[in-house]
Amino acid sequence: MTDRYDLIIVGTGFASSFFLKSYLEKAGTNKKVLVLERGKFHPYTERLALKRGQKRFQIKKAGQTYSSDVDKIWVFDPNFGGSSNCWTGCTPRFLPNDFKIKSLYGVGQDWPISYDDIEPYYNEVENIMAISGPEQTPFPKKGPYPLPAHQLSTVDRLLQSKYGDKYISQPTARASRTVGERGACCSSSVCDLCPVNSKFTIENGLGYIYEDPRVTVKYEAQVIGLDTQENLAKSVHYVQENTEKKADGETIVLGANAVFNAHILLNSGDSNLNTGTGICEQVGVFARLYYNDLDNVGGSSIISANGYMMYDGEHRKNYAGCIIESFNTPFVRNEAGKWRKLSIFKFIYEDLPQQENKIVLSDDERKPKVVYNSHSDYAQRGIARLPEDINKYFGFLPIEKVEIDDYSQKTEFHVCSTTKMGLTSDDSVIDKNMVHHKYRNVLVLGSSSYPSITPANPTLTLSALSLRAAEKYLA
Amino acid sequence: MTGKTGKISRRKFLWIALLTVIAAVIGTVAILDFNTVVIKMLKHDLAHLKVDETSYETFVREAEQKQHWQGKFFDWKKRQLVRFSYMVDAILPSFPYKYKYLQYRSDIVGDFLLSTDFFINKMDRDKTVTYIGLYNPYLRPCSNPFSNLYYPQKV
Ligand SMILES: Cc1cc2nc3c(=O)[nH]c(=O)nc-3n(C[C@H](O)[C@H](O)[C@H](O)COP(=O)(O)OP(=O)(O)OC[C@H]3O[C@@H](n4cnc5c(N)ncnc54)[C@H](O)[C@@H]3O)c2cc1C
Ligand code: SF4
Repeated sequence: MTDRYDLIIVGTGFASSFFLKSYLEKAGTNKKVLVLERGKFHPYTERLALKRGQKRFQIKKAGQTYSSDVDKIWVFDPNFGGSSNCWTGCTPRFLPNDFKIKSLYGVGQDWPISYDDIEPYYNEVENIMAISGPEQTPFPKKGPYPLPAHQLSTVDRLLQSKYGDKYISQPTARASRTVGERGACCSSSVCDLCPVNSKFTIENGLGYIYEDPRVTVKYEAQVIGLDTQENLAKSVHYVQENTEKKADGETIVLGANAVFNAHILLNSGDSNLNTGTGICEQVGVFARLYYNDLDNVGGSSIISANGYMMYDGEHRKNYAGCIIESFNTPFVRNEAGKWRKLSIFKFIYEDLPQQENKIVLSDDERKPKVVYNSHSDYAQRGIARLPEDINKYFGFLPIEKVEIDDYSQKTEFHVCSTTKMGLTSDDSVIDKNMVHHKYRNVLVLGSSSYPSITPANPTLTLSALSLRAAEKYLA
Repeated sequence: MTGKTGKISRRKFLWIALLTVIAAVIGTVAILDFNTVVIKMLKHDLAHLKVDETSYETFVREAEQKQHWQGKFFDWKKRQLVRFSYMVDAILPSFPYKYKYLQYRSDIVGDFLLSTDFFINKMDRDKTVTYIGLYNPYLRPCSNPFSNLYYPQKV
């Protein structure tokens, strides 16, 4: 005897939670929903007690959930709320051109949807997350952000005077004012667990949906695969307390992130050649700019601004676009009187999904293997230009010295593109409404759906896509 | 003849000099653990400030006890880089990754100053700098001394 549900959702991160929120609002009161979460629920208060040294317990880490032969790491929180627990809360929208880089620039793959298709859902997510952001943005936006922008630093203000809406206070889920149970962000700069609970998390923003009487949540229940029959999935196999279990579902939603969405499909015998291929993320490089006579003070939040000067344009035909983050952690320069005559910027380059970087099955059916060669030459060509670009865009500042890291960061904490969306199964795994090309009752959510990843952070967009997917599916 | 002797002794001299440098570095590396290096760096870099002498010791002790460096992504490799570079820096004007070493050194000095009343006293060089407790945003949130809270924008 197996349990039967109208909807089975895998995971409780952004992708699943935004879908579930919309689903519960639109579906009937008699619906039965099962949520399978591989991890535990570690409430915010307990995580805080752990950080303060008041409690001791182990939180399962991403590295324990997959195998890999290479140094490259993929970081996420495999527990209730997913990486909303540890994310930084940077929420820029994508630019309209990001959705058509193949048509415009001849690289990568176009999205099967446009900016206009997603715009209303961006608004909705921004309201739910109570995003703080500026009035002027480099992307079209119909109304103001729900919360006022964070304050720019003295250096940011000079850059904004020069570059206008290409240099803005960062749109962010780190609330600039107290909102509900979330405190106002006060630049403590340890956002992996905010001491004042300022950033949006699934727990503080959408935790209530998991208390809906229609919803049953099973923890420590790792989904392994689906039983499929022709063009439908019938049931979900999961392991709980080391026992294999099965649940039948009318509709099955995978929101397990780009490593596990692909893994679950591969375990289910998905023969689409694109499933699992293309794993990638942005590539970040830090640079320090030392000033002769300019103090960098007054910024608000951990990252005060985003620069778009190197993001979009004809250069994307040849090399990667880049978004700039202006850091506001309490760094100093250890020279008397020059304590803060310093900026730290991170330059974050888009990458292109490549076939040879992929998720594959391993000997252990519970552990996917990540095969990763390297980021693309396209991204590397962008990085190689950084000294020149810093000179071009920052050269007007009173710079004494520039130090650019001669290596890129190990990770940007984003996992993308293993179940891409597209028009046909020739170049993608799911359609524009996130439904699997073959299994028509399976939706695959999250940034695994990105045909191209853009330089911008992925989570606002993937959350908007989940709201859109729920609406389209129930229409 | 003289030339030949001179050549040999020059080579010998270079060898001896090189071995001395290597021995000195190995010797000092063995003697100077990370905490000692941190104290030496702080004393040197903050010589222009009046720092309460016990502050340095208390800082490194508390940092060690609370595994502060590990928590700040100052892993073993980084700590060794700092230790080793500190020694090499005294001998060579330039070496690979010197810029990284100097950045880490700034981070350490920054951490120390954030653990004192220096910023609370508005970076006043005339006031004695006293240790107030290891900088920990979970115990003292909102104390980023360069943020908008301390530099509000005038409208
Ligand atoms: C340190 C850090 C900082 C970040 N900062 C930002 C940022 O500033 N801005 C931004 O846009 N993005 C940021 N990200 C990325 C962001 O967190 C992710 O894009 C986002 O969490 C993805 O949401 P998701 O729901 O698709 O996946 P996840 O958040 O990974 O959630 C997946 C969920 O599925 C569960 N799960 C996985 N496999 C299974 C299985 N087999 N069975 C059952 N359950 C399963 C997991 O436990 C989890 O609950 C950051 C990430 C990290 C780690
Ligand atoms: S900058 Fe500080 S206060 Fe703001 S969200 Fe991050 S940790 Fe919280």
